[in-house]
Order: sequence, then C-alpha cells, then structure tokens
Amino acid sequence: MRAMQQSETQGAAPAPLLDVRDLRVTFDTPHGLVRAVGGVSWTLSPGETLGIIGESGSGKSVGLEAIMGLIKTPPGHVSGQVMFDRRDVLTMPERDRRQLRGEKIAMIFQDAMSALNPSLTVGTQIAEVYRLRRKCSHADAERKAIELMDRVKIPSAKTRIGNYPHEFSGGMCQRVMIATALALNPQILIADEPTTALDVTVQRQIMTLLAELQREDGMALVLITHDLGLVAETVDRAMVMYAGRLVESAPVSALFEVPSHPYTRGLIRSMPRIDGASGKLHAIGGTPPAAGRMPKGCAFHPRCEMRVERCGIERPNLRPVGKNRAAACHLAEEIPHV
Amino acid sequence: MSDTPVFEVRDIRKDYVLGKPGLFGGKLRTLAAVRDVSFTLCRGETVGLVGESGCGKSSLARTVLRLNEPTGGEVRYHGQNILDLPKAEMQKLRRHIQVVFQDPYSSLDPRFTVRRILSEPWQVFPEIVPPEKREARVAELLSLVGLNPSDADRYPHQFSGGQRQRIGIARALALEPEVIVCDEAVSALDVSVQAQVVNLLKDLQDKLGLAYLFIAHDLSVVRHISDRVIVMYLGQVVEEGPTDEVFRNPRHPYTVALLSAVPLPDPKRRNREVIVLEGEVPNPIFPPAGCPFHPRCAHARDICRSTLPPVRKIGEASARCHFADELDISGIAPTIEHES
Ligand SMILES: Nc1ncnc2c1ncn2[C@@H]1O[C@H](COP(=O)(O)OP(=O)(O)OP(=O)(O)O)[C@@H](O)[C@H]1O
Ligand SMILES: Nc1ncnc2c1ncn2[C@@H]1O[C@H](COP(=O)(O)OP(=O)(O)O)[C@@H](O)[C@H]1O
Ligand code: SF4
Ligand code: SF4
Ligand SMILES: [Mg+2]
Ligand SMILES: [Mg+2]
Repeated sequence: MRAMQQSETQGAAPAPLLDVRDLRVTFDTPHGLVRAVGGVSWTLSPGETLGIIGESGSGKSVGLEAIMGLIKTPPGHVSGQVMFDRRDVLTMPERDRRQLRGEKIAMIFQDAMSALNPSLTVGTQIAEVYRLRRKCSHADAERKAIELMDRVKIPSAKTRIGNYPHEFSGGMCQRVMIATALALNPQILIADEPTTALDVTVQRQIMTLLAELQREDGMALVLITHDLGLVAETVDRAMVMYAGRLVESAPVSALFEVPSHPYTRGLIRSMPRIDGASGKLHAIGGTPPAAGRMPKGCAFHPRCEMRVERCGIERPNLRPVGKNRAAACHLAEEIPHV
Repeated sequence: MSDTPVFEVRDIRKDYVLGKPGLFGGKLRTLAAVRDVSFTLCRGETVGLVGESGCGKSSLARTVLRLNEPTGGEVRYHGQNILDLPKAEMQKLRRHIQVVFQDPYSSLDPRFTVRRILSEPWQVFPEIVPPEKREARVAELLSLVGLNPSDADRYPHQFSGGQRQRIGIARALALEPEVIVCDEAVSALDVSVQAQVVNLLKDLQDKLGLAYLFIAHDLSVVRHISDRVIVMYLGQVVEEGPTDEVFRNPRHPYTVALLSAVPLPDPKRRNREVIVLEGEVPNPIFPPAGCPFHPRCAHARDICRSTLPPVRKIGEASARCHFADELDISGIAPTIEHES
C-alpha cells in the first residue's frame, strides 16, 4: 500500500484526505490476546468512495472504529498512525478528537434503530449535535433538523420531527442517522453496513440518497459491506480484508475482472447471482481462522486452492501488482479470471 | 423429481388479532398476515418464497408447520389435512416436516452438546433410530452436513455461525423428514459459508429427495436454489411460477421492482436503468383498497385503486395484476444472462 500510494502521488493525484499507516488493534480477553486488526495501511482521497469487504470477523468494523476513537482501551489497544490534515488522529488530545468526529469524519451503523436514543425525538437527536457545536438557538437547530430531514427525504419532516425512533421503520431510522451524520458537513462518512438490515428496495433508496449527497457535498465515503453487488455498484476502489489484514486493494472494475488474490476470486465465485444460471456455487472450503489461532505463513493457506509449499511458511506482504493495485499473495500475478 | 405432491397448502390464512378491546375505539383490529396462499411441494422440489420484511413469510412458515393456529385453509401431507389432526397425531407427523430457522445462535440450546442436540428428537421418536445405533447415526449426520464426528462432544458456542447452521440442518435431518421449511436459513451467513450451506442443501435434496420451502429475502439465493418461486406482498401472493420464468420474464410490477433493486456484482453495468421504488410497505393493519401495491406502483390506474386484481394465469406462471398480460415491463429486470 505504501508503495502504491507513492506511485499514485507521482501523478497529479491529490494528497490523501486520510492516510492510515500500519493500524493495529488488539483486545485483551480471558482467552488471551485477540488480534483483530493486524497492521493495515490505506489512503482515502477527497470525494472518493472506498469499499471494504471481507468475511465476518475479518476486522472491518474494528479498524474503522479505531479510527473514530470508538474502541474502549483497555481491553482494546490501538497502534499505528491515522493522518488527517497533517495530524495524527490517534495521538491527538481527546478534545480535538471529539471535535474531529462529527465535524470532519462521521460514522453510521447497521442497526440504526438501536444506535438512536429511544427516549429522544428524532428531531432532537438530529438538532442536538448541531446546536451544541454551532452554539445556536433551539429554534435555529430545529430549522436545521427539518432541513436535514428534507435532505435525507423523510416525508413531512415538519410533522415527523417530534416522532420517536420506534415510530419509524428501519429505513427511516437509517435516514435519521444519515441526517445526524450530515449535520456538520463532514468530509468523510464511514458507513458500516448501512443497509444490511434493510430490504433491497429500501437499500436501493438509501444508496441512491448517499450517492446524491456525496455528489452535492463532495464527501468521501467508506462503505463496509458483505455485499459484493453493492461494492460493484457503488465504490471506486475496493479493499478486501481477511483475518485482520488487507489482502487486496484495487479499482473496482479491475477487482471484479481479474482479482489478484485467491480469496477475492473465491468470494466472487461463491456468490449466487440474480442474473446468472444456477448450478453448484463455488464455495470456499473451510472457515476463517479463529482470532488467536492464526495459521503460519499466509493466513488463507488452509483454504486456498492455489497454495504452494511456500505459502505455509512465508507470509505474503501486501505489494503493488499493477496499476493502482496491491495484493498480499505470493502468486498474485497468476490468479485466473473469475 | 416425481410429481406426487408431498405437501399441499391451499388458501391458507393467518389473521393476528391485535390489542385489547378499547384500544381502537372498542374494536379488535385484525392483521391479515397471510391471505389465501397456496402452493404444492413435490418430492425433491424447492419452492422459494420472497418478499420484503413483514410481508408474511415467517407467518406462512409457522402456520403451515402448525406452530401458529391457522385462520383458514388446508395443509395436506400426502393428501391428509394436518390442520384437522388432533394434537397427539400432529406430534407424530411433525417428524416428517422439519424447520431450520435463521438464527444459528439462538435456535440451539447452549447447555447441550451437539450429540445431545442431535439425539434429543429420538427420545420422542425412538423408532427412528434404535438406541444402540444412535452413536453411529450422530456421526453419520455430522459427516452428512460436512462436520467432523468428533464435533459431537462440543457445545454450540464452540462453532462458527455457518457450522451452527449445519448443526441446525443435521438436527432437522435426524428425524428423516420429507419436507424442510427453511426460514431465512442462510441469511445470516457470509457468502463463502452461505455457498457451502446452499450446496449442502442441494446435495441432501439429490440424495434424499427432500422437498424444501425456501424462504429468503435474498433473491439471488432464491433464484439459485428454487424450482418455483412465490412473490408475496402484504400477505398476498402477487406472482408465482417456475423460477426461470419469473426471474426472466416477471409480470407483476412489484416483482420487477424487487428484481431491479438487487445490486449486480458487475461494475460494467452499474449505470443500467433501475427502478427506485418510492415509499415503504404500508401498514398491514390498514392495507390499501384495490390492489395493495397501487400506492407504490408506477402503472396504477383508476381500477387499481378500487378493485383487487384477479389472479391471471400466463403460461405456467400467474400474477395478481390487472394488466399482467399487457404491461411491457420485464425488460428492466436484471435477469438477462450475464454475457462477457
Ligand atoms: N471488544 C472486543 N473484544 C475482543 N475481541 C473483539 C472485540 N471486538 C471485536 N473483536 C474481535 O475482533 C475481530 C474483528 O471484528 P470486527 O467487528 O472488526 O469484524 P467485522 O469484519 O466487522 O465483522 P462483521 O462482518 O461480522 O461485522 C473479530 O475476531 C472479533 O471477534
Ligand atoms: N405474533 C404476532 N402478532 C401480531 N402480529 C404479528 C405477529 N407475528 C407477525 N406479525 C405481523 O405480521 C406481518 C407478517 O410478519 P412476518 O410473517 O414475520 O413477515 P416476514 O417473515 O415476511 O418478515 C407483519 O406485519 C408482522 O408485524
Ligand atoms: S499466498 Fe499462497 S496460500 Fe496465500 S493466497 Fe496466495 S497462493 Fe493462496
Ligand atoms: S393492479 Fe394496478 S396497481 Fe396493482 S400492480 Fe397492477 S398496475 Fe400496479
Ligand atoms: Mg462489522
Ligand atoms: Mg421472517
């Protein structure tokens, strides 16, 4: 990734908005140390849409939560650097960090209903952050809340501002959360599976809304998802995580055409397709390693159809493998088409 | 696949009666969760059931399993209406009709070993496997679902989600059923593990001739596994037919919208035309008059607002839309075979 980013900056590419360097997150647990994120590096450009995919437990959420300062320490431990605006987010004083959160970087979650406070009206929840940060009157804050609710297309905002989250559907709650996130005009929105709990029709509405908001505000979006279809349709660049590490990063069209990692290829081939014929799915055998029981060498080798002897001994580093691409596989150049 | 129906559901209805008297001006409200749904399962056949959340999929599943008391209709197992059966006889019949639920975490008792979980049903049906053969049968079941016979001594929490789902399937198989109702059985799984479980279900079907009612909100999985598919909206079947027919040539505007909403794993086609269905499913306590889909339907006309459309048969499929045989809408669904 480092090398990749250098080659990018040689061109006229803009300086990254966010620069994550060797981010590591571990947890102390009764069963020993759990390594949730094992040293990942990546960058995000202004206005870019970046997708992060990978199986459950691969460290997608924990990595982003660490950037947001949402990991409780202890038992968690976060190391590395996260540069934003020439400052390291991880080491800045908590006050500055709180300022950054919401103001510059905002995050939304899968389960909007439970992320919202059940005992406050949605209007209050949207307005409150704005009122406190912008030090404005209640009336101005309420006006802002209505404006934001209109922006995220909650019908009859004026009357619904006094509703409580349980009076909203899952999709509407997600809109409320997006409105809250947008209140301070962040430059980066991190969306952790924002539509996983929603029906496809509502997912389509929410993703259309996010794209529209991004177009209007030039906001960068980091989208965490399990859904390869969503990645293919939404993001500019995708990163694939496996067992706490980045195994591949590529422009999305290249990723789907010729993956550079057997795991990426496996994911794509194991997916049933709405537009495709039936037949047997190409399942990846086995299961991801349990945290704390990482295989030697390449973490994917027990499940990899392409493994060679070297894979069980030597861990492949993430390395450049073509234009704007990187992969952590000894055989990255030899992966067949999907 | 033979053509003797193993399981037939005719005009099944499920109303939930809501609230205490007085809550709605003294009247009890009813929520018609399932309205006159019919389908047939033959040996070795899979019927898929799709629709947005709240459309009545789980209610239908629970009702045909008699976990809910039905409000009306018939459920026949080899021709016998199981809804008329006294409780004791129904208990006996239950072994033939099993269920696998979504949540591999909560549907297995955490206090029991896998061996106990798998052999528990034989306490009720001792004739299926005699005591001296149970040990071997547990091992066999575990192998059948791709687990290790030595896993019998482990507890559910020591398994991953996908493995727990396999245990759930093994438990359903322990009673040697003919019919398995899978209610979102693979929905919580990662794609790689989901593919393993879907392949497993297909293998078992080929080997044992099982019939599945496969409920999922993921249309891609349903397309993959089902022979026929049913699309539900607000408790009603709006379209039904052979899977390929419905996915390639959908007739109901709701089916088209549903299919169109599914993101395609093909970046080259991200700019294709899609339908963004406005609004959300209406409150089922107060379903719209006429065609229940009309408030969201781009093709609605006056008649749609007043008159419930009849079921129209088109070839082997059918759709409940006034204009099912007129509308030219199927081209928009992303069902064209992927060419590259
Ligand atoms: N507080 C914690 N204590 C111990 N381990 C944790 C903690 N939080 C997360 N982990 C572990 O860290 C790893 C990464 O978790 P993370 O939530 O980032 O996964 P994810 O990729 O977001 O998965 P999903 O797709 O299921 O959301 C997992 O092994 C998880 O069990
Ligand atoms: N026990 C119940 N009592 C009252 N209403 C119920 C009950 N179970 C489900 N419902 C309602 O019935 C409708 C159908 O629900 P369900 O069958 O769970 O849908 P699905 O499985 O398709 O998401 C929904 O409106 C739901 O709120
Ligand atoms: S390094 Fe070896 S085991 Fe790992 S993904 Fe590449 S080929 Fe497979
Ligand atoms: S009957 Fe009318 S409202 Fe209903 S789906 Fe058909 S066109 Fe739309
Ligand atoms: Mg997560
Ligand atoms: Mg359900």
